[in-house]
Amino acid sequence: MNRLLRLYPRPWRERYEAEVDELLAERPASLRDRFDLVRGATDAWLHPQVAAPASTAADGAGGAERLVVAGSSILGGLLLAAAGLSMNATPLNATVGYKETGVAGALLIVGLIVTGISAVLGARGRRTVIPATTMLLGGLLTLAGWPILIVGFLAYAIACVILGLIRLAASGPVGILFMAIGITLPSFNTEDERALLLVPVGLAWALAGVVVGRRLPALTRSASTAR
Amino acid sequence: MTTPTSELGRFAEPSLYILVSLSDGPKHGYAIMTDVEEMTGAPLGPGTLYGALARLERRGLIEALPPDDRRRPYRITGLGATTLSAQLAHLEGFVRTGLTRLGGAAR
Repeated sequence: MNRLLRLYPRPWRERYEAEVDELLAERPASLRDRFDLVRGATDAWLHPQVAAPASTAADGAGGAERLVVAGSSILGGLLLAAAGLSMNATPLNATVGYKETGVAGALLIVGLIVTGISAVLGARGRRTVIPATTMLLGGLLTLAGWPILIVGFLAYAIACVILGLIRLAASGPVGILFMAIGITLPSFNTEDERALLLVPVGLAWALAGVVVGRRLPALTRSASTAR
Repeated sequence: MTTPTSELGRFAEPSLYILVSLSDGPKHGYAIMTDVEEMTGAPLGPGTLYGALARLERRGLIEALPPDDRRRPYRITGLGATTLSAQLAHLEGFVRTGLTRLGGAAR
């Protein structure tokens, strides 16, 4: 098998790999063909044309469940972005010395929990269930307040990076977004302008939800034409 | 006019070549590739070929036939033939206009 074909998304490989492999056996790939395959793989990730088989699309989950995944991802992301904006606009509490209180703090905690729920509902198989559940538990731990909240927050961030790494192979854009979220979160700080880091983090979550949501009609359509 | 091939991006031109190649009967990937190279003089890379095939198949302009060993032939659908016909008619008008203008300029 041509190693470059491994660059393609799994659903694409399941559909076309044998054919392309046979073609390359008849006409060995030139250097130009190799570049063409890399370009084709990039396109296949950015503009998926082949539906994931039902077993890998969402562990057999129906369209309604995936809509909930997309919706909770978008909602949680917007809550996180709102938390960042709110914290940045809130003056430092002179009594307690931090901002994890009031509306901004509530938005942050609810945002972490809702996105954690989205991660769990969207988990595919045991490998992704463990980090996704860790994210949800991390979000729930932030309810306990200082200092336990920092443990929950870091657990959420680390699990998000791990989940991103795992999902990179099956759903590239979402995997990259998860990794970016997990890497960005430890730099977040409620007490200064770094609170605004929650805005790109929240938008990344919302974008992940949009990516999942956009795949819904595409999956349905191409499943019917692929038969 | 919006046609099923107008949204194929950088695959629009290869898609047109593929539809023309399939217009005289089903072919598998390698046969399409060599046919297009004979028609246009330019090789069609495997990534471009299968990127275009995936788009055409998803839009219902071509369909896959049962595989022959590891090679799977494709054939043009009714929608594909109609689309190709419209595209070629459009190109024919464009070519005629260009040649007429060139002829006028040469005089």
